[in-house]
Amino acid sequence: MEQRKTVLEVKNLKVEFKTDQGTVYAVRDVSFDVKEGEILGIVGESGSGKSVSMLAVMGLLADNGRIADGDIIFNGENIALKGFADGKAYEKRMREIRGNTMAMIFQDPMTFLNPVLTVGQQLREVILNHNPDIGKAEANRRTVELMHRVGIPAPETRIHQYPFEFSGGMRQRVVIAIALANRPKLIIADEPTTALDVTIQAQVLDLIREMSVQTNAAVIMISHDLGVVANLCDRINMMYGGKIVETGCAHEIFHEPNHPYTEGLLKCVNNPEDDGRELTPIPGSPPDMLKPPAGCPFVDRCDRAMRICKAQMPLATECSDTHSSACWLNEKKRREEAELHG
Amino acid sequence: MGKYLVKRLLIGAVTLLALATITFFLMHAIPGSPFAGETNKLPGVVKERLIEQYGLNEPIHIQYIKYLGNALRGDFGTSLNRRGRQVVDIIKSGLPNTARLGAVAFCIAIGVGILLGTVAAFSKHRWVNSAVAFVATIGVSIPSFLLALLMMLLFGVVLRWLPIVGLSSWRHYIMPGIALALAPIAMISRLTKTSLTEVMKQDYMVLARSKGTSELMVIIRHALKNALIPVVTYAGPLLATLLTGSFVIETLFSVPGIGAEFVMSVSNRDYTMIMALTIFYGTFIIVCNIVTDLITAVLDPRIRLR
Repeated sequence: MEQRKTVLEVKNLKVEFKTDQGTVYAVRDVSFDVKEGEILGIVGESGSGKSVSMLAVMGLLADNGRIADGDIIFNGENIALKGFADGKAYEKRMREIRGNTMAMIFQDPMTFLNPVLTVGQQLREVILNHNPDIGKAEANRRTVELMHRVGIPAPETRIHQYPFEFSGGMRQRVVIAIALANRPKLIIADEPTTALDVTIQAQVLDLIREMSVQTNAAVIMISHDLGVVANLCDRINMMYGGKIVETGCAHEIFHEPNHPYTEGLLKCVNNPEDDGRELTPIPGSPPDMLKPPAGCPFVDRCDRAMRICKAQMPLATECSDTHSSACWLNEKKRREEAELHG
Repeated sequence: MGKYLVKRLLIGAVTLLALATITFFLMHAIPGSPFAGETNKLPGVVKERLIEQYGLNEPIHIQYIKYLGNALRGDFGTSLNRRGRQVVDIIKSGLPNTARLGAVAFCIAIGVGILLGTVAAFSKHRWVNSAVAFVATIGVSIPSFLLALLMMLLFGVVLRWLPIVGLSSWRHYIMPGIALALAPIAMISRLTKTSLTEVMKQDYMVLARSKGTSELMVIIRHALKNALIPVVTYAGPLLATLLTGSFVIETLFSVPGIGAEFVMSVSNRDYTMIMALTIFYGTFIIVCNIVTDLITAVLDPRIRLR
């Protein structure tokens, strides 16, 4: 395999939110990277910190959120707030990056498009933001071309229409077109199919994959649905309670899961090849991130929890070059094997 | 669009006819007569002659039909109270004063209201928010005549900064303008604040930022157009109310306008004057509502004018 350039490297990212109830520790020490042409899946349930960690990378956290610590290295440049003189310098640099070299595809095309601006206006805006000198005619030409590229029929007329005149699937294509407008190096897709009909989902996923192949962009696909990432992603990060609990190639996650959470989640997925098998839900609910647990965040829902799981967070253990998981069972297994071999 | 306008104007005409009819019969149903006040001292014969002259002795439905016929030809008759003066002339002489004062009040209300609302929506300090909420509460709860009297006392009598009576220079407009604008300022600032806060929380604001658009442009391009829709809906009827005047404020500041004229005409049973002013107010409010709907439709493409 040829050596591919790392587009984004996140190191020890911590994100916190100040709320009336106290500080919510949404992302707790998360590290990962993604290379060009690669599609990385981030899977976890609501509140696991998957969307928040990516909003932090984009610098789009809500007002009460902040990056408490960590480095975000994008294209060799550290774009974490602490790398800048002040918030103003950070915001200025991020404005140049957002929608240009790093773009985001959002979840719900019904609510993420401005209802009172035409689709053309909303697409043109992102083009003109980063190419202020091209003039209106050229911007219009590029807008039409872009709409054509994402498969919107009759772009010359649809450019003048408003979002409410588009179907859900077409709106999501508009959202994708906005993200792709300036050929970004990194595309972050935040559950891009959750709000869509099942019939449209596959089309949208195909489109994202196609665009990644065409432009060699790195893609981070956030999802709570293992089914969505199964066919699309090269690598998958499993997130739980603000931490990455397991990371590996797609086939490793699906065929050799090494964390009780991943295993539990796989039991919840309906697999057509595995007819007649009962779906098993994971009992319990996710941890309270106002008071994040000291040990493994999954301990209360894990059927193989040990005493140490509650007391101490396990470190990531490598299963292969690409596969690692953070679980005390790994350590237990290692010790048992060591005893066996004397 | 053109079809819509024609339809709205036709509905407006029907509304106006209903308004005129109801007002006509109601005002004749009220006990009393235009010649009950000072004219009461007139000898009986003279009074009868007057009643005959104005056609008030005829059956009421005949009076009604005659009135409508004349009104359609643009003849609204002469005032019963100020003999010999055409009611149209009375409205023409009073309207400019009322309208100018109303326009000043409208501008103050819109300008200050939107400014206060925007400041409150974006301020990170809690006290700014409380201050705006305080102004809004004061605005809706203090009656305008009380504020007017307090201002007259302070700025007119004690400090002698502003003139109290009449409308002869721009300085005369300040106090009555503010007194008229206070309640609308309260309404508009609350509306703007609530609406802006709501819009800023919308998902499409995050997408706008994700394009690399500056915060200022995000607010101007994406927030204001959405946020001002409820303000416009309120401002249209407000304009109609302000331009047609306020009896209390016009009386307090001795403004020769039509607001005061209306109330006087009712207590004097000046039938022709009541009818002319009612029809004028009605027309104005209908037109303002149509214009408001047109502006709202321009701002929000989801609204289809049908």
